[in-house]
Order: sequence, then structure tokens, then C-alpha cells
Amino acid sequence: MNAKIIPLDYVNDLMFEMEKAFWDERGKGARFRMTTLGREYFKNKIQPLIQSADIDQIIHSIEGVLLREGIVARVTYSREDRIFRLRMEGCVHRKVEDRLVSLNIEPFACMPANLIVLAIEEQLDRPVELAEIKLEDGACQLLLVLFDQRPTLG
Amino acid sequence: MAQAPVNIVVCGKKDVWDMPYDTSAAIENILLMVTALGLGACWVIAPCIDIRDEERMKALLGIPEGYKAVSVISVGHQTRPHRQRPRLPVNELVFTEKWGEPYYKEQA
Repeated sequence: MNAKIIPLDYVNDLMFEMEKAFWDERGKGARFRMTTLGREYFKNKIQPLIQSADIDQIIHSIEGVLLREGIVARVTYSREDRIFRLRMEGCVHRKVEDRLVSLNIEPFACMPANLIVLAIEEQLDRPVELAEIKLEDGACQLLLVLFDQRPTLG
Repeated sequence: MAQAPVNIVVCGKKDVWDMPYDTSAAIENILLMVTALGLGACWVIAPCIDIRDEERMKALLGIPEGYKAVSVISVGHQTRPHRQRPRLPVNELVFTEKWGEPYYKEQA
């Protein structure tokens, strides 16, 4: 089967059912078990393109891939110290989030956001948390928090 | 299960971080108390193994969407003494510093 002709509704329906099943199993705890969703895509499509350790450059590289592959239509972001606010418009997976919200389930996984988290962790070895996913008309507002260093054991 | 005088259905609220583990700890406490009262119990895990069993149980009891039916604890009077289950040697279970480095050097 040609990957380009797989119907988007088919993909999103499966993603919704799998996320819903995971929510049913783990409840709110599902959120921190989905933080590596997209890791394979990151390794194959994103990581080879990242040449810089500059955060703006990293996000710009990821934005380029997401737009080129048609995963999102537009990415804008602002940064205040350790807080990143990203706005992703026209995400192909938006229907998944809408269906979760229709069941009063707060969205808990975002592959495009995970790509940024994975890239920063990989390139800068600094932990990043996706703190919030807010749905707006045609866009998702994402809040990411960047930490200085990882907690250590002893 | 059908013959047990009491079946306790343990449900977990999904809007918390550690629902399966919280409810499992609660189940263990229920089992300890049942035993302390001189009764017997069986932890029936079917609902947390096959989603179809959980769906049937939730429909039967009217359990709302925001809760998971985790397990059933069947409680009754024991019909036979408890049989000791096979145990792994403790030096294969308890490690120090790294997995595989036995804490107990000799079999306890």
C-alpha cells in the first residue's frame, strides 16, 4: 500500500481508539507514558537535520519538516525565559484531540510537541515538559517548560 | 465468583496519576483485612485483562465513563486451607546497586 493514499480518517480513528484505550487503562497517568510518541519519526526524519544546539534553530528545523510533510499548516512560537508557547495550526491529528475533548478527556499527547521535546533533550541534554495542550478553533496552543538540568539520584 | 456471598468491585477514578497502582494497593489491603477476619478471598483479574470483560461489567453495574473497573474481590468462607505457592529463591529476587547483583549472597 502506498503510504500517501492511506486515508487520514483511518489513521486518526485508530489513533483516537488507541489513545482512548490507553487513557482507560492509565487515566491521567497516560500523559507521561506518551512523552516519547514520535521518537522513531524524530530519529529518522528530524535528528539528521539538526545541526545546531541553538533552540530557535532546533525549532525552526522541526517546523520545516512538519510543514514539508503536511503534518501541520503553520507553526508560531514565542519564548519567555524557560517558557515556550507554540501555536500549531492545521494539524492533521486535530480530529483525535476533538474526539477526546468530546468525551471530557483533556488532550494528553502531541506528536509535534514531542518532536521539540525530544530534540532539545537530545541536543542540549536539558529536560523539557509539555505542560499544557489547549485547543482553539483550528489550532492547538502548547505550553512547554524548559528546565536547566536533570534531577540526579544522590 | 457467582457463588461468593460478597463480590467487591474495585473501581479507580481515571482523573488521577497512578490509578492502577493506587487501586492495586487498596486491593492488597482488602485482601489482608479479609484474611485477618478469618475469611477467604479471590482477586479476580478478568476486567483488567480483557477490555470486553470490563465493558460488560461497567454496563452491568452502571459504572460511569470516568472510572475504570479494575478487579473483583470475591469474599467468602474458605472451603480449603490456603496452599503455599512456589517461591523463587530470595537471592534471585533482591539485588543491590545493579540488577543481577544479589543482595543476599547465599540462598536464604
